[in-house]
Amino acid sequence: MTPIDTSAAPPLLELSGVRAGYGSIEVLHGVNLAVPAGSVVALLGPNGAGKTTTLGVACGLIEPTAGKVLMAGRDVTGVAPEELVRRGVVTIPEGRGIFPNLTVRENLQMVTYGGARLADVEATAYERFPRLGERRKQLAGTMSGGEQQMLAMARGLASNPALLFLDELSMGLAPLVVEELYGIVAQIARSGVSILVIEQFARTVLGVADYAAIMLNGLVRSVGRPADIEDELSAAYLGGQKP
Amino acid sequence: MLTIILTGISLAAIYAIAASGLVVTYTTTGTFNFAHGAIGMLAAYLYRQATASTDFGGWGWPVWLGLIFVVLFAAPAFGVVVERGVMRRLDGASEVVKVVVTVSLLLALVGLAVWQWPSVSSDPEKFLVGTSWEKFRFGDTTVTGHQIVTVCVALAVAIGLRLLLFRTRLGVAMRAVVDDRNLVRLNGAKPHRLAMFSWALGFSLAAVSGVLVAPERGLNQVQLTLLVVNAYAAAVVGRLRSLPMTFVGALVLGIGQSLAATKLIGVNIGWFSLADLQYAVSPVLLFFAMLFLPSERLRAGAAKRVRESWRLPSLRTAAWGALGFVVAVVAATDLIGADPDRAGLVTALSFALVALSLVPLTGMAGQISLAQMSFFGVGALIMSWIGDDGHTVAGLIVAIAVSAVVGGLVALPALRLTGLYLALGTAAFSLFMTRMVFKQTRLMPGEQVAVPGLDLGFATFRTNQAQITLLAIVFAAVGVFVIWLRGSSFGRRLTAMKDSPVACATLGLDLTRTKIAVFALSAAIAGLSGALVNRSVANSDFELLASMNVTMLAVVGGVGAVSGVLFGGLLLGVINKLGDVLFASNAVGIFEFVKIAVVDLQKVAPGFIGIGLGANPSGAATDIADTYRPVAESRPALSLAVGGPALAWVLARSGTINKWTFVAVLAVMVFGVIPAVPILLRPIPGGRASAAGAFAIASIVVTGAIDWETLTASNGMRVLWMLIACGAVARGVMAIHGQFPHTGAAPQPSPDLVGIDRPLDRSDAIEAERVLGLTEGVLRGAP
Amino acid sequence: MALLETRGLTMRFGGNVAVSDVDLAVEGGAATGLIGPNGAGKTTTFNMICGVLTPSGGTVTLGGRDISSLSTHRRARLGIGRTFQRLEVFSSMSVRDNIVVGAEIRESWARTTPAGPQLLAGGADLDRDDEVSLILERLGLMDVAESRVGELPTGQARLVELGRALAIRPKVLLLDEPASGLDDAETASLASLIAELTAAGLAVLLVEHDVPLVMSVCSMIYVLDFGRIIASGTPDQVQQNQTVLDAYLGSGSR
Repeated sequence: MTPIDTSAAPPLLELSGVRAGYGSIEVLHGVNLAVPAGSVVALLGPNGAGKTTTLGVACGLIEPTAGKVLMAGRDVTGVAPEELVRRGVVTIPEGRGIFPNLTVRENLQMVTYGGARLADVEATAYERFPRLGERRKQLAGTMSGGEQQMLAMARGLASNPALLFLDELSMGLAPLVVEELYGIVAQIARSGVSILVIEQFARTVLGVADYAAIMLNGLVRSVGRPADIEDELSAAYLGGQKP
Repeated sequence: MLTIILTGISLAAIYAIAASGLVVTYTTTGTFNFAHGAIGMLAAYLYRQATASTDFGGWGWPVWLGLIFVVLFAAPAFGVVVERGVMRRLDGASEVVKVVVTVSLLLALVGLAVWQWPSVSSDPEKFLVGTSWEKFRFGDTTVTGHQIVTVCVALAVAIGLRLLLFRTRLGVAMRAVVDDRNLVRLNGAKPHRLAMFSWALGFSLAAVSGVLVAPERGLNQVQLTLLVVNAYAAAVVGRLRSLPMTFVGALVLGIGQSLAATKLIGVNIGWFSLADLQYAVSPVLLFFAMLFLPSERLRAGAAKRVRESWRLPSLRTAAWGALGFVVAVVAATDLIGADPDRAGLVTALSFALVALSLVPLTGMAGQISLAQMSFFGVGALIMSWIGDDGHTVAGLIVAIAVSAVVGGLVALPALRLTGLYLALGTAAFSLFMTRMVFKQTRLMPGEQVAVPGLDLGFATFRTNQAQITLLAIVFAAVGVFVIWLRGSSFGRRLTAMKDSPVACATLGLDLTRTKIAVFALSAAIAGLSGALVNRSVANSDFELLASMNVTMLAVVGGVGAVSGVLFGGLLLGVINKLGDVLFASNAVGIFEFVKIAVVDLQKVAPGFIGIGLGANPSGAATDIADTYRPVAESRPALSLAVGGPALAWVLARSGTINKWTFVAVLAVMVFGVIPAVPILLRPIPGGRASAAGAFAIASIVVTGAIDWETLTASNGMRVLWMLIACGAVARGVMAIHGQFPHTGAAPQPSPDLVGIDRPLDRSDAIEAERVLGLTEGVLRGAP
Repeated sequence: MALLETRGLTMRFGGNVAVSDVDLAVEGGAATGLIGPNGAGKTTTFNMICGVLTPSGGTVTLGGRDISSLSTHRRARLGIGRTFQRLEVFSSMSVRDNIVVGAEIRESWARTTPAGPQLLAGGADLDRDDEVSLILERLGLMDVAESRVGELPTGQARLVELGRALAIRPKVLLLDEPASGLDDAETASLASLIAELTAAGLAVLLVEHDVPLVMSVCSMIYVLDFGRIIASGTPDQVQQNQTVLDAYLGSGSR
């Protein structure tokens, strides 16, 4: 295992000892996780491990009951998500981060709350995804799953993030579409954006990730380079049986 | 005919404006504003106040200034205040609490208007525009300028809303909130700002509709409020989402009403008169619209963690409490000199019994009803028919049975509905009953019903004292029954159904039957209260507003607990009736330093109490119970708590101390001393228990030595002094004792007070830096 | 013919097909597994079997009888019990009362629709208190019997749901991720409980992400992906299936 090297600069995102849950039920029991500047970290693990809750804490939607969220070394625990967005933290949540009853253009108009100009947002989105340009007046909810996810990704691109959170991009999408989406993730990563990505389809993301962390029962159990981690994965999912 | 339709269209225009305001607020905030009608009513009054000439007591402003002031300034500003002050705190509260809080707002505003403008003669000629009453003739058809203006405004509102929602970023964001609130935040928009705007817009639209409708219908607080309440039906036709469908609903409503108003006068089915059907078009439409609503699907994952919590007393505690309650009520009323003065308490107990009917329905099963006084009316009506010839026992039984059946029938449509829609459905039922049943001259000649007193053969209940005793016993008995029910198999099933209907269904529970049963039970208790009312009741007592009052105060008191609804019901009775008796003679000038008469406070107090519910969704009873629970758990403390007042009562009964002094002593004991007794009895290191105890006893004796009867002539001043005395004694005991354990949770600090009541922490500092523009770029790695 | 069967079960939400043409056969006296990645349609399938959702197409039969048009509570009375992935406990009540409510509701309908035997007691007809105590004991909930369920951790709350479902003495038990939130020891005792129940004749349909648990207790496994059955067979067959591995790990880089 190669631990994440954080000696050079403070990581862009750091969770330390984060505990959180819903009501009286605690889901995260002290999560420690770091995303070094300019790298892609994949957070993997079975259902119910607490991946989405971890992301919820990181993006400000869920306030932790204990522990800290640091961004570039500054404590942002409890800062509202809309404030984080304006500081370059963009989250694409699980299950299509779009408004189904708004048109494509209106969805992009919402992005401007983060500070960008509509013209720039539209230009970026339609350039990268020409298909969205063709459908700018269509209700987002009537597009195919892949197109919807592209629209969500367009928000990630157009708001020029410093830190990008992606939750289960691949859910319910055909493998080809997933591959295309992760191609874009790789491009975004090359432009220097730090990315935390949650995936169930581990192999899909391991090709893009610099580091991978495995989460089980509300704790990050191991962190390492993708190559080291792949073997551990089939154990985590299928219980030690290798194909 | 064309005239009728055109009149209908102008009416429809008003409903459309009001209903679109409701829909906009509901879709973006998830809160259905029952007070919408009251906002419109208040706006009409305010507008009239601003524009009426000084000769009529107005401010004499020009029409355009009055319109701008009311529609563009006062109403939206009030909307913002309501959002910030009340609604924002309701995030995560149950639907019942949300409904009750906006209902409270309605009641408070109606009270406020009655207080401020007790009698305003409307002056239609000058009301809106001087020339607007001019009639235009097209062949046989006549329209007034006012109608034309109204329709034009409605069209402008429709176009304006369309542009706002589809052409501006703000409008797009408001629609986005409907889809996914969290995603809106992740886009960087602030849902609270959107909510604030949405409330302001909703209030503005309500104001427009109020100002437009008032000149046609005249200024009357309740009628105007209910008129806009009609718009609920239009909003439900639009399923509280679709503005175009809402406009269609408004059109059906307006034309239907206009037709009914002209075509059905004097039409009868048998003795059943359809004359008032025009007022029932809205509830009927509401009802049908609901039948076509998609049935509430049993959703997995819908189980909510509600904020309310109650403790369940044991049956033994309940029985002792019931006995104590009857004794206390009888003893207290015995001290009141003249029998007519006890009338207030009769009403209070009557309300308490109706409120008790909500414990199984709302407290246990989580269903809401805004029609309890209609069941009360059914009970009263049946009792007056059957009990008239002396068959009062039979009358009582039949009254209970019929109320139960009616309750079960109401439950039928309610089966498919929950929360808000159930509240609307029962409100529609209540309106329908008021307009179509309780107005029938055959049923209620002179809009009154004379309910005979119960005659048990060995006992009759002619005096107020006897009536109070009867009601106290009935309340105690039904209360014990309800507590028993709660611990029974049926009660557990109701609680289970409230927690998770879908889980109950997967265990084999027939939800339909269970809901019908609990509605029937609840209606039976309310009907029982009506049958026992023992006086002549006006049909206005069965109105929607009366039902709203009961539901609100029951929830405020704590609808999960019998003691809670007792508190709520008594509060309602005291505010409504006892206050009149107590303060009527010196109503004005009691609190002269603030120039508010107590009788006026009575009008707004219930509403404001209800609005305060957001702070404690479990109701006041839990707070009170938490304060007095240690007393009940310690035997010596309990005997002191019972013995002290009993001794004071004996002194008062024998004439040693006068009645006002008794009240003062009682108040000081109950509020100042008794809560501290368990702490005084339990040795705490460093506490000066004996000194504090001596002070407590001394204060009681001093209070008893003062002649409160001659202290001041004003009842209000007496009450004020008593409150001060209670506070002083409680503080004194605590100060002398010096050591008090903390009970209950520490209050949450308000976010607005950061830095004042708690030190700034890092996130506050970062927030401050952001506001000052210092942190942009830092996160992106810039120095 | 299997005790519980679905034929061509299909669910469309708007234009999206969540479950498509699913045929399942759940045998009495055995546990059947239903696994698949997130969003594959497992919970939707459960909801259609117990009547919470009305399928867009297909039938559900229990013991040869078509129950597709029956309401949820009727199906429960015929012997379909279930637990929920997202908790549906009676959170304001105590653990014991949760189970008691289950037993009481069963008693209220058992007069007209006979319920099955008490499985944990080997078919004996216990009185309500004994039955509730037995269930609490076997689920390891005795210590928390008087606590409010809303205050329990997720894992224990799931066991409360399981106990509540057992209290109606079902013939078929649908378990939706019963092991999520349980620790290793608790998972092991859950496995032995399932084994005991199936030995007593119960049919269990198990949705679970803890695949080792599924492999150890189930004799038959169905794999669902994108709303379709992509594989079925014994645990060994499923483990060797490359399609299944791709569904779980993605078919990306390898």
